[in-house]
Amino acid sequence: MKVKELMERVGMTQTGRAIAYIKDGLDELNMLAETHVTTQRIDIAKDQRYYNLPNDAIKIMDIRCKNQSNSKDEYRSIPRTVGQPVTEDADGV
Amino acid sequence: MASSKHYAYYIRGSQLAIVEHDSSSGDGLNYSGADINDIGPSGGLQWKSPIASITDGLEIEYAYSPRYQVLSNTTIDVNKFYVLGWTVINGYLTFLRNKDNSLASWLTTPESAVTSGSSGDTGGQSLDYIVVGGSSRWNGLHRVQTASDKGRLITYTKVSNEDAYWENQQVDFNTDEEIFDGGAGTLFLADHFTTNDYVFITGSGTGQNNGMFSISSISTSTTAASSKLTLGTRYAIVVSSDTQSGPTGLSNEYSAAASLTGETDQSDISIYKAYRDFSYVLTDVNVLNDESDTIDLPEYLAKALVYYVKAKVAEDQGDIEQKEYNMREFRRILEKHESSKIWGARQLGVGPHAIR
Repeated sequence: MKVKELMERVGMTQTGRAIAYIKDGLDELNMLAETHVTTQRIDIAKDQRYYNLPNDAIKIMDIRCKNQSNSKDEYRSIPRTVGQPVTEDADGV
Repeated sequence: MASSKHYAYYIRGSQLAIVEHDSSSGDGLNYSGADINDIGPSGGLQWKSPIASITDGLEIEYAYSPRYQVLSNTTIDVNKFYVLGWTVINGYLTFLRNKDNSLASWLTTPESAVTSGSSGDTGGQSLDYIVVGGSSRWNGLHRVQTASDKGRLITYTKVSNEDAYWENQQVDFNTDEEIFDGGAGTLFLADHFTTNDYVFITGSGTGQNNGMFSISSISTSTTAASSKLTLGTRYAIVVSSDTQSGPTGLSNEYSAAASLTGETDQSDISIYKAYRDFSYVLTDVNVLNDESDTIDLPEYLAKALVYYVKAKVAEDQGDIEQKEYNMREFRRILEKHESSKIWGARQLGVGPHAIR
């Protein structure tokens, strides 16, 4: 569906406003029912605890690590901790 | 063979915290290693920051908003360009690219495709968009602000980092791979960097004095000319026809020990504190920004989007009843679409410990 067709169905004439709402709707839609999914791999650095989430991520669906509970270089999901470990980290970035 | 590991994560703001279980085991007969305070559920040996570096060790699967479409086949050095990392110039995110023997120019072919591509919004309008991929932070859509012939591609993306950089300075190079103040007597470079930081250098008349370098050591001094950075490794993108970097493969990063040429006559050297993040930039991007653009959704979900926009319009008009009705229809279509992908009967499983 083109933006113009959507505007006609809604009865809008302001393109900028329509596109702003469409962008909001695409975000909302991907929060509820993921239509566009991708994966990204990041290097794990020794002693670095904090890693930035991808800039364009709307909803995190899975976090996997290489060799998680295996020694075959497979990527497997890792669990989320309930609290934080007592060993604090200094990288603080 | 790699050893088995145990990771876990938690979220801190917009960051992901990765912790690893650090276990220390003996041979079954003798106690080995750990301090007595490190044993037990709260001991230091339990969960801590990753204990080893792993290339591509973390994989994040996520949903993103389809606000753009990449229209062409992606071909390296046609509409896909690798960059070595990024820095911040005037508060704006800037991608950095250099070859083995020179800085890359974003103004000449093929890199000029970032502002004059053959399809999408790029070239067709004055809006030049790029999509970044493979980055540990900047994946997604960015708009180009300035393409330079000195390896810098400045975007309109604001970044709050406050990193040091100097432009058009007198800086000297020597063959011990050191750089330092070359005249003004005010540039104490070593005060602004630490070992293992990265710098991006432009302006030297010698190709291999420019580009992305790691800093292997610093030497501080109260004299500017003795406040020095020692450069360790130089990084470059690969050029197929280049005998040095070519064998590395186009989609990989080339690196070699820094090999500076001594220079004392340069007055237009720019030095940026940089972040190494080998990633790529795609051009020929069509962004959702005019009436003729196609919304990248299945036809059925596009109908849900119609209800969403109707709801927002009703909300603006203060018609809450209409807004609620349209939002309900929006969610109903989403749920129907989700259900339509699951075939067969559904039943809830009873757990082994359930009360019967």
